[in-house]
Amino acid sequence: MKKNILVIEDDPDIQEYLDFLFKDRNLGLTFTSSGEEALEEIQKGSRFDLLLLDLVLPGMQGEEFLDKALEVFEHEPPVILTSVDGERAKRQASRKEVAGIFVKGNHGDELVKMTLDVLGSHQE
Amino acid sequence: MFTTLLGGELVGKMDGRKQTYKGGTLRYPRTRIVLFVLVPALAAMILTIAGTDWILLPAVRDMLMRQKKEALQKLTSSAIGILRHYQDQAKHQVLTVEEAKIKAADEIRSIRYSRDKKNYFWIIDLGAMCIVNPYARHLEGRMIADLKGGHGKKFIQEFVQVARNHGEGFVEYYWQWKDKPGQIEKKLSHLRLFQPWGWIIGTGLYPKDVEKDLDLVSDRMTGLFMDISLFLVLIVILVSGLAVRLERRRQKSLAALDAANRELQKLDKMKDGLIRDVSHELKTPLAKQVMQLEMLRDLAMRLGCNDEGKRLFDVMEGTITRQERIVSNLLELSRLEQGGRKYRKDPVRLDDLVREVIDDYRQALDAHGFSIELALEQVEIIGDKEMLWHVVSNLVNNAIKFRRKDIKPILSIRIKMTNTDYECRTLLSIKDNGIGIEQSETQRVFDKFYQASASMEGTGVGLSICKRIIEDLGGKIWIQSKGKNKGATVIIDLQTCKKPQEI
Repeated sequence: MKKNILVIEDDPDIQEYLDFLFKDRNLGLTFTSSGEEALEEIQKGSRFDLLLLDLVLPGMQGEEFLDKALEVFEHEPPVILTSVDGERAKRQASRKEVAGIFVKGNHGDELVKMTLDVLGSHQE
Repeated sequence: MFTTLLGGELVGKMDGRKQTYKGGTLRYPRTRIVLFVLVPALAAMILTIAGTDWILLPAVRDMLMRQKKEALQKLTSSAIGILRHYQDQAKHQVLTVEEAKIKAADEIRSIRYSRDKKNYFWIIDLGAMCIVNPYARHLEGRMIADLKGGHGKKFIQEFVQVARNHGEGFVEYYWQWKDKPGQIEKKLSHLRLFQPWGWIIGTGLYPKDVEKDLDLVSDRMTGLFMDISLFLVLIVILVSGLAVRLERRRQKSLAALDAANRELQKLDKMKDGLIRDVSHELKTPLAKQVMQLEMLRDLAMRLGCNDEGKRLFDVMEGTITRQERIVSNLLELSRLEQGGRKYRKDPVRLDDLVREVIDDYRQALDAHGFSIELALEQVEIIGDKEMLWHVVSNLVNNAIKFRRKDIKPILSIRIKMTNTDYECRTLLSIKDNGIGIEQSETQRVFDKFYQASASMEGTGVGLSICKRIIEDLGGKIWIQSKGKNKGATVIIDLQTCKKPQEI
């Protein structure tokens, strides 16, 4: 079954990059540009297997989104945090739902590998 | 703080100790000036006056008394000269002895001396008969042996005794003034025996007169000392004024120094903030460059990129990675300096950590033909493993980066423990045979943005981060090098440690 990833990322250039990374991987990527937009997407009832969450967002910040989003989900999907600021992401990483951190600027293969690993170990 | 960039804190060094101006109103140290200037001046004045009364005036009194006595001796001696003159005339039969005696007595009787012309000579003979006394002529020709002075002293008898025994001498007695019954005054007489006629001639003085002279001297001295004291006080006031002005000026410059210091600190903070913000802002575009380069490379590959194009991609990737590392390091240091990092205090096996770092760098070390020497004692310390890893990997990375390309590179890492009753220390040394540094530079390499030369690789922040971390962990770090191309050894001294078997 095709896995679905909800991407919360406000930068269109990075959205394009993520699209580039995951094409030909048989994954469904849904792009949203803010926490608010992502919450709407979740409330539509779509099922997501992974959240790819940018920490720095316009309006609602990544941390706040995590708190709200996880109340809405029936099954909590694993989350990969993306950030240019590794330290800030690490502070969030102690939360049990955070499955990984991708520091922007590292090679994209790292993110692809991490994503596939997380999806693979969360077969439901 | 980024102190090295702006020259750091200005410190006012006065009296050899650090002084910082506390701010607020300027305080003039008037009380201090009173204590340190006025008090000694007053003490000096008091001592001068006391010295005058207790030492100088008694000395002057003694001197005056001695002079007066000498004068008395000279006077009696010259009176004897007169007697001798008449005795000579009698001897040469110019006069009879009786005539000579009468003439001599007349002449002596008429002599007056001293400032008020009241002092006189008296003559008695060895039988205590009065021969001359110009102020008591009724006594002349009478026996006065029983004449008493004040306090009942029969001083005439003493005159005779002194003359008989010594030929001359001083006699002190109290003189009862006939016209002033209540007045008894001390008198000092010098007398001399004129042997040929058996006469005793004498003259005296009142020590009270000496006191009067002394008072005169004392008055003059007091006047002089008052003048000196006044002069002294004026000088003290002048000096105090000067001291207050100097102190005020000093306080002002301290205040200015302090203001400059605060301004510097403010600038320093601004600069820190600026570096942090700029680094942060640079992170996103840098990350995007990495991403776009990846996409571009993929696109180029699909379009059939040649080897030259691939090489260009590699170079670009290298430069961007380096930029990214500089920015990350800057942010890291900025965080450490802000105290943003909470260090963990876990047991860390330092020897294992070093092996892990070497394994991590194995590929790069092998690629450059490094020969690796490890002499690692088993040591467990309490610290932050991640941060220590950061430090060791930074230093290993430096050894690779700053290797000499003309010789086989050697990396030698040692861990040595010293465990005494007093302290437990772990020394970690990381030694290479690379390009080294001038000895004069060994302090500066830990400065931020220090680079041996502009063309050097590296961010210029790595060692600053290491120093910061080691110091935060309570240790010390320093570098030793014998000079250019003579290798370098970085030594880390960690203060606390435990041997594994003791845990």
